[in-house]
This record gives sequence, C-alpha cells and structure tokens, in this order.
Amino acid sequence: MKKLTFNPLEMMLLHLLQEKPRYGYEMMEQIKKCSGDTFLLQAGTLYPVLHGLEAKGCITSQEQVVEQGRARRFYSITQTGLKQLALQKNQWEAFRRAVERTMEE
Amino acid sequence: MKRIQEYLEKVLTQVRVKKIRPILGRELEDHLLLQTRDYQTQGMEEEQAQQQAIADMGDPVMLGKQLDGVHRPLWDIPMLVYALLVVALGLVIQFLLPVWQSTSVPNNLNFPKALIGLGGGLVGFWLASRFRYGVLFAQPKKLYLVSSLIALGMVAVLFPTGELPYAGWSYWPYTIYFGDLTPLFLLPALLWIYSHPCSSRKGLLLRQLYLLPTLIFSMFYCNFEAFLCCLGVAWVLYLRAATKFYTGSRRASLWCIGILVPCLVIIAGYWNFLHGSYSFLSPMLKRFMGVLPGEEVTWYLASGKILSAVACNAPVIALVLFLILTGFFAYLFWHACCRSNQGGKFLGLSCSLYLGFSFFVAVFGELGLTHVVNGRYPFIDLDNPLYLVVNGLLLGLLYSTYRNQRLFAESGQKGIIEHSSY
Repeated sequence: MKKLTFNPLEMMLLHLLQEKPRYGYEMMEQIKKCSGDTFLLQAGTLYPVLHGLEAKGCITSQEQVVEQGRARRFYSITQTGLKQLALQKNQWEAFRRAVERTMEE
Repeated sequence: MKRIQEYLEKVLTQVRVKKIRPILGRELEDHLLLQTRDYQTQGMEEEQAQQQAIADMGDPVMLGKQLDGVHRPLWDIPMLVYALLVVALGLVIQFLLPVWQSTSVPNNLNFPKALIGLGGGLVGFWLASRFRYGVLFAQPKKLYLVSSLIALGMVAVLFPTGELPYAGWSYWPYTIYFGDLTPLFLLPALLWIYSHPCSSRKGLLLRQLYLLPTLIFSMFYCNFEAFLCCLGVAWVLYLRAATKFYTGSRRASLWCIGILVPCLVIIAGYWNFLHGSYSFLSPMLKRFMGVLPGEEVTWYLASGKILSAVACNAPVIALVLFLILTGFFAYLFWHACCRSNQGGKFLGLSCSLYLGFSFFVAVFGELGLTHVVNGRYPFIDLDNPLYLVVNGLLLGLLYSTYRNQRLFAESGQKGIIEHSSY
C-alpha cells in the first residue's frame, strides 16, 4: 500500500528557500510570478504555513534591519527542511507520473 | 498607517501568547507596507493602496486564529489548575478523615506512600505531556504490531497459570497491575487506525478490529474502566466514520441510533433499579442515604469508599466534592472534543473516558448500583501510588494532544490521492 501525502505550498516555499534566504512577501511574489499568476497567496495562508514550518524545524528565521529602520524577518532552510523537501519532491514526482499515465490511457 | 495599526491589532488580539505579538506585528506590518508600496508604484493613491493591501491580507480574526494555532500557549493553565485543585482536595480529604474518626480507631493512611505516589504522578504527567508524536507516526504499523503481540502474549502466557485477572509485577511494597497498562496498548491502536484512512464501508468495520488486542487485554485483566473506554472509543470511531458514507436523513438516523441506544441501556438499568426488590440496594446505599455523624471511617478508607466516608460526617461536603469531580472529568472530556485533529480528539477522548469511567464506576460501586467494589477514584485515591502514576500518565497524554498540533500523519488536504487496501 502506498500513501502519497505532500503539501504543495510547503514544497514550493522550501524550494524557494533552498536557493537563498527570503522574506514572506518576497516568497509570495515569487510564487505568483513563477506560477504565471496561478497561485495568488494571501498572507492568511502564507504566514501560518511559514510559522508552522519553523515550528517543525524545517526553516529558521532572523530579523534584520532594512530600509527606514524597519525590521524584516528572513527565513532560511535547515537540514531537516532539506530532507523534507527531498521527500516531498519525490512524492510529487510519483503523483505527477501516476496522473500522466492515467491520462494517457 | 492608522488603518494598518487597527488591522494588526485585530489580528494580534487573537494570539494568546503575548510575547509573540510584537514579533508577528512587525512581520505583518512589513508585509502590508511592502504591498502598499507596490500598489502605489502601480499608480494607486496611498490610502487606496493601503485599503487594497489590507483587503489582500484577508479577514483579521481568521488570520489571527490561524497564527494562534501555530503559536499556542505551551501550558493549558485551566486544566493544570483544575487538576491541582482535585489533587489538593484528595489531600485535604485524607487529612480530614482521621480527624473525624473515633479515637479508638487507628489511622491507616500511609502519608509517605501517598506523597511518593503524588510525586510519581507528577513525573508521569510531565513525561507524557512532553511526548512528540512525530517520533511515533513514522512507524505506526510496527508499533501497533509490537504492542499487540506484547498484549496478547501476556494474556496467552498467564492465562494457563490461572493468575489472571489480578496479575501484576510485585515488588515490595507495591504492585504494578498489568491491567493498568491498557492505555499504553490503546495508543498504538489509535495510531494505526489514523495512519490508514478508511475509504470503504468494509474497511470501516475491519478498522474496529485494530482495537481488539486492547479489548482482549483489558477484559482478561478485568480492568473494567479500560474495557468500557476502549468500547466507547470503538463506538465513537464507528459512528464518526459511518456517517461519512451517508447523507441527509440517513446520516441523522445513524447518529440518533448511536446516541439513543446507550441512553436506552442506561434508562433500562435505572428502571430495573427503581422497580427492583430493595434487597438490590446494598447496605452502603442505605447508609449513604441516612448518614450519621461520627461514623467510623477507617473501613470506608480501606474499602476505597471515600465519598461515603466524607458523607458520613459532612454530607454537604460530599455533594460538593462529587460536583467538583464530575465537573473536572466533564472538562477533560470537553478538552478532548476541542482538539482540531481527529487523532488528537480520539486519543484525548480515550484518556478522558478512562478517567471518567473510573470515577463513575467507583461512585456507582459505593452506591451499590453495580457489583464492582473497591473502585478507585482518580487523583484523590492516594492509597495506591502506582495508580496515581497511571493517572498522571493519562492526564499527560491528554495534555500532549494539546501541545502537539499534528498528532498523527493525517492527510486531509485537497488534491491528494491515497491508496488503501484491506
């Protein structure tokens, strides 16, 4: 028996953070741009997921002072997050191949 | 900016942990200011850009509640306070009863033993409440198979010896009764059930069999409360899952039958009690109904009849004690029902049902309504230290469902395909 469970949003966020540390708004805009405006995240969706990933140890965060003395929270991926990303990518590939094979029938 | 601050205040009011609010506030404010700046770049006026940015954030109360769900307080203060109050009541009763008894009767309560039990209960609570379920749900099948083999193996090994049902491990001056280990076998069963979602009606019934090793174990070791608890969990699981396959009036009918049948059983039992012969009433019930002050209490303590011991001397205090304890177990049951994930809900329900059943079995035994004697009161029966450790473990497990948001690897997300076979 196989069980496919993955969270597409978590996977995308971890993938973005694998490239470099980012802040929440930046990730939201990047997902919107890369998906061709298909995924339009609200902050109500984004930040609970980000904070949930941090609670699970997949990412860490740090505040940095940016323009006009404002604080901005940057997120970085951890080793646990890298493992979780690899696992989710494998599951996503398996899911995608299964759907493609079914549609080809 | 005032509009942004008002929005953030509405969001952060929902977050119970006050020290996290400034951190969340700065992050969300930065997001709003960036979004506002981008809209201004696209040609909007500042006020309009702010309004649009706030609208894009979504409902502030919903956002706040979701963030609160991630940053929930580590300690459920009401539960801890209530539990400490109940334990304190137990200590007070144990101190008061010797004062009430006649001087010719010796005090047979072992206070050092009681304090050791309380300490063990606190340690058990602390250990169980800190449990991280991510460790367990990595290998639910193996855990379930191992625990079931141990449970059934213990029954198979000891059954021919005739030492059941009061088998245990004795070491002076205490005894660990194996029946009290039932909750440890119930947890893997629930883990296994929730790691394999049910997708057919046949699987629904087969799923109840996962509780069978635990039911057999508790039945053979005559742990009445654990047996009722496991049956209760199985019944609720069945009802909950069965209603997924029905809609409309059929679903309503199933729930009505599921609630009505236990009620009819209880009413039938009470009807028999009311209309049966008075010889059905035990001498304890008659004494409880006509309490006399100054009654000897030592026998009551030795036989576990704490409420009767109190009622003989202070009926009003006994009634208040009964109401406080009933409220406590009802609160634990409500706490379990409030868990947001199914696994946490049913683990919490099983622990709270176990404790609640223990209490009501002891009460019904004292009143002579059942033939179960020497029932133990959770948290206030200080005579058996290991029973207090079990109580602490169960409360800790219930508490851990509060601390762990994601108890089991439940999949409830859209667009995910699951395969299951039975």
